[in-house]
Amino acid sequence: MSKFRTRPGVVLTNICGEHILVAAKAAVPDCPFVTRINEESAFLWEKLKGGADEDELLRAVEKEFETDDPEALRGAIQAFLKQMSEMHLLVED
Amino acid sequence: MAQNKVYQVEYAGHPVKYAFREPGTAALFRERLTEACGEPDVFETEEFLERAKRLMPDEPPEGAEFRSLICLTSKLLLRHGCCLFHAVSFEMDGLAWLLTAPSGTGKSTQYMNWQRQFPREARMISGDVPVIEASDRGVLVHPSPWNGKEGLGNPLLSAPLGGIVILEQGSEDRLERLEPMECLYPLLRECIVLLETEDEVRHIAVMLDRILRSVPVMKLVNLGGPESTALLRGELKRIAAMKGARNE
Repeated sequence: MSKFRTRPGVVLTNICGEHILVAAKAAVPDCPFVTRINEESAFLWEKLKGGADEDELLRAVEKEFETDDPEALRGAIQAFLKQMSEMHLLVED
Repeated sequence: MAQNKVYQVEYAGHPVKYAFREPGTAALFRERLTEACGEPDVFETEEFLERAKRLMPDEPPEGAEFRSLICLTSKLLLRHGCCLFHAVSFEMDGLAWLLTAPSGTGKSTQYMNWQRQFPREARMISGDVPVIEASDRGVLVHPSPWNGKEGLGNPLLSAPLGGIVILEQGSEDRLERLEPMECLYPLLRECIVLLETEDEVRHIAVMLDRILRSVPVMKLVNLGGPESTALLRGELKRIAAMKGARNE
């Protein structure tokens, strides 16, 4: 299983109640300068920042958000990881 | 280092000490500069200055040094909740207003229109690069030594920010209010900070949050003529009156 981590230089900020990823200069050639993400993605971002792998993300999300469909949840997490790594906001270990 | 005289400039009450490499640079700060003691906060490396000269081939050496100090100064101010911002800034009805846009989009034209149509109503704070402060003291606009080609600015004039106007050239005159997320990128683009570190990103995000929660941001699509200035003036007057009424 691939393990992802947040790209160094990309910072999760909160501006007017919105979760915004802002890239510092060194990260900008590789990823977008400003990216808006939703609350769930911000939650996953924080967990990834703390070093979580996919299984740990799943457990954390199950605990935080009530759900009775772990497979759908895993699919959503994988979609998040895929999208964020395609945008080069995450890097694969 | 010992042979370079140290000078000090205050921005929003925060002193920044400089030493210059070019003999003519101090004069470009005009009356804002005082002599100081101790080590400078800003003393460009020769390499940095040479790069600045290459990037600004039309500027004399002291002009290139003067302009290249904008970024370094802004970096220092960030820790105080301040940054240098690319805009024409003026005071009207006790509030500061920022007209911002990429160079050549008509910021100075709008201000000149204003002076022609409504003389003595607006007073320039800085013609090119004011200091925005978004700290516990509030959101304020202060002058800086960088006043653009026309050199317009008042070193003693600061005011609470009333609003920000993003200018855009277009085929009609239209003024619209922007949602915070619509103006985030244009505002970040005009903040003169290199955002070299994650801490700098966090500082600027806190500042933008305070600014966007405090004042309206508008977009003025315009033809550059007097009608657009009248349209803008009407809206800024309305905002100032509402703010005044709230404070009474």
